[in-house]
Amino acid sequence: MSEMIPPMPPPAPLSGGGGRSADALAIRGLVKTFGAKIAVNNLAMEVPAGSMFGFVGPNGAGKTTTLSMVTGLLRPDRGAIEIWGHDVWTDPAAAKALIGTLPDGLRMFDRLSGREMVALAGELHRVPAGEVASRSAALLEALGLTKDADTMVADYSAGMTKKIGLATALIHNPRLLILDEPLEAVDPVSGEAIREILKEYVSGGGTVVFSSHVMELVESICDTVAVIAEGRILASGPLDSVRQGKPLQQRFLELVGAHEVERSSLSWLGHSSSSN
Amino acid sequence: MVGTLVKLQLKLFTRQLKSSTATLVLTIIVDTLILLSVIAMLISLIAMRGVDPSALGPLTVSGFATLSICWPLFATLFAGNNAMLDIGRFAIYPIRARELLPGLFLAGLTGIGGVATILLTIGYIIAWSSSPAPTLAAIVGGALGVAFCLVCSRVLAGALSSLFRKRRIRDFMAIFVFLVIFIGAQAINIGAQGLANQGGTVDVEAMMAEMSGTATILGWTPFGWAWALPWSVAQGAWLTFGVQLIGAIAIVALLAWVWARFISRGLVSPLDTTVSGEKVKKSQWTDRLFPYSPAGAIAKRDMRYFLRDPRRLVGNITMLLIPVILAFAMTVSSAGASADDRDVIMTITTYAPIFFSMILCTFVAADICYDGSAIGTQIVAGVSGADDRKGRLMTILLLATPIQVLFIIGFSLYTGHWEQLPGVIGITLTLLLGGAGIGSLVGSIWQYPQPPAGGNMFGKGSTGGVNGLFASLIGMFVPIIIAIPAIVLAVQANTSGNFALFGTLSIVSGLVIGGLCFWAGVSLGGRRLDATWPEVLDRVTWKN
Repeated sequence: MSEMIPPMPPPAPLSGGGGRSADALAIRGLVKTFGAKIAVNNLAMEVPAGSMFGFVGPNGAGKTTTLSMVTGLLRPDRGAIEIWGHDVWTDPAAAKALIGTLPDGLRMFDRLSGREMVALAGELHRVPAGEVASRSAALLEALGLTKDADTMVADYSAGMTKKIGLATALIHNPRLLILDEPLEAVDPVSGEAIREILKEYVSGGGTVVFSSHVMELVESICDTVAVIAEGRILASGPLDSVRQGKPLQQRFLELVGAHEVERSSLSWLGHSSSSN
Repeated sequence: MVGTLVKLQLKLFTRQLKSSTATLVLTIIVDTLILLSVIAMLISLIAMRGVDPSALGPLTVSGFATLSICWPLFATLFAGNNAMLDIGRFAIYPIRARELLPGLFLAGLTGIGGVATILLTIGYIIAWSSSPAPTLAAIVGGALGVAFCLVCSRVLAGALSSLFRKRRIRDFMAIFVFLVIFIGAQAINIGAQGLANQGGTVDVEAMMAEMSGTATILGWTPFGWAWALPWSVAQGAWLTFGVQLIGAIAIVALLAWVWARFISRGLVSPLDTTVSGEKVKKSQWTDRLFPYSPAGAIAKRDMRYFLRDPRRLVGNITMLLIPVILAFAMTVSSAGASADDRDVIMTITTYAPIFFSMILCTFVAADICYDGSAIGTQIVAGVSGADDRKGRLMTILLLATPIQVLFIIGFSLYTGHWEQLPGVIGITLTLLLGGAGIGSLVGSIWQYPQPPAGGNMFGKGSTGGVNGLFASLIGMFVPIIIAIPAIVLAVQANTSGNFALFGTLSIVSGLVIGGLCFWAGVSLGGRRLDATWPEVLDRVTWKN
């Protein structure tokens, strides 16, 4: 894992961008509805450049919907999304060149081998062929996929598919990584490898946004977090200011509004197995 | 348990219908057609009541034994999305196989196939109901016959399911089944044509004699035991009756026992964990054919899919077969024709290769649909729509052009009408270039989800609904419209006899019109994609 990713060049200040260029990602007034359901409700948030940003929220809070709009996969109803000042929806080519992403719930070209899948992503991003070969070998090695590099992605396990997805997100050495549930279904060993890769990436100047609902994970590696529920940001900022001295789990439950289980109605649970 | 399972089956069925208007309309049309033909058969069965057993026996036995043979095959083929067949889903509940079996049996009869079979069986009983003993035998035989169909189909599905877990075999089966249906349908078509060409009236007596022989043989197979019971009774062949009755009961009991074993096994092995893990070749010669660019990357990926994706293989084979089948059908139909007519038929046959290019348009249009949500890889990379269109065309044209050339040369060699060559080339150029362009535009506007590779090709939604219909209609007819000038010029060459002049004009028109359509289709299609990527992704995503 020594020569994985070359250090990131610091983001160039944008001409005329002013203070805005300090944010890798800036979202304002984002709205998305599906029929009567408001999935994302006037959402605003900023991701400072060089941060490891945790995007947390309960199931159905709008995490995937928001990240899909950031990466150009889902058209917002309203609002603006900028990557270092480039609007994703008015200047997609410039914005997308800066992003690497691991979407959740999309299929891959799974009749390609892992190596071919990574090479495809590299060529689509116009990375020179020689560079793709060496980077791909390094990424596959770091993620423990070298042995299965020539196996079709269709035959990969869920965790291996996540890992190859991460390799395709990194192959063009993006400035901003958008990862939707990157550690889901990944075994502890690979999980540790992914964490190391992400830490190294951020220390080299890269910015990571990843969604999760595992608070311990977010707490252990993120420096900045945003809590989303019902399509709105409830709290956002440096980890310690969001936590307010409590464990993130507890603070999260306070913000989201913990759902009290009524004990008495479930009193039959575990007491007797005689009925049915 | 029985009621629960039947209710569950009906609920799943109605949910699936309600999920989309297109599915509902399609299901209604298909089911109405099936029911109408079943009712027609039912009426003729009722009309046969009182017909002499020597005629009724052969007819019903051969008809219903065929049903017993086909039922399990079709049920297995079209059962793709039937969740009830997936025993693994019941694995978490404390249920035994023999509790599940009766419910699953009845649930199997609730579909259109079950209803049709029951209606036909009622017709079968009525046909035999002119005297009491055969009536009773028909009731017993009908019940056993229906039971055989259903249990046999479940045993077949169970036996195949363990095979189907291996991806290679699943892929291969899909292709195999498709080819059997396709070639079978063509063979019937050509056979019927050949029969019609003989022009003679069919000898009813001889046919009946032959059918009687076939029916006797079928009556001695497991497929016919049950259905032959009333015929044996009517003939007074009590020994035969006894053997067939015991055979019919025994085979249903045996199959039910095997089915129960499959269910028991399914209840304790719910998860599909087999991974073949075979390796792909590291480098491919095809990679060197394309430039190193986003369009080239799309071309390379498409080329790999043409070779590795069973869904694409099926399409490729169909496309290759169509001109050959056409030529074959033409040759068959020319068999009894006069020398002059034969010459005309052979002249027309020389043009058969143009159908290969004609289909190309729908082929190009459908290409993006096969990507499914994996197209997201291109969207997040910010690939332009024009690069997408160009990349796909590189692969398709690289594969199609040599085949098209071979077809043209081969057909001209076969018919010897070399003077038609310029006309054939003119029309082909229009269809190939223009079809590629129009297909690129059509494919950028109307997309529809395709079942993922390895899924059931006959499951719901594989027809593409309204968008698929639009894409196919436009993809079929617009290329013909733009080819009209080249076609007119080719006809003119034949009527005037000046093949050199009009043939050359036909080629020129093909280059100009085809070229213009190519350019317009690629650039307009590319722009359309750039403006609608998220919507395209939504439309090609297979939602379960």
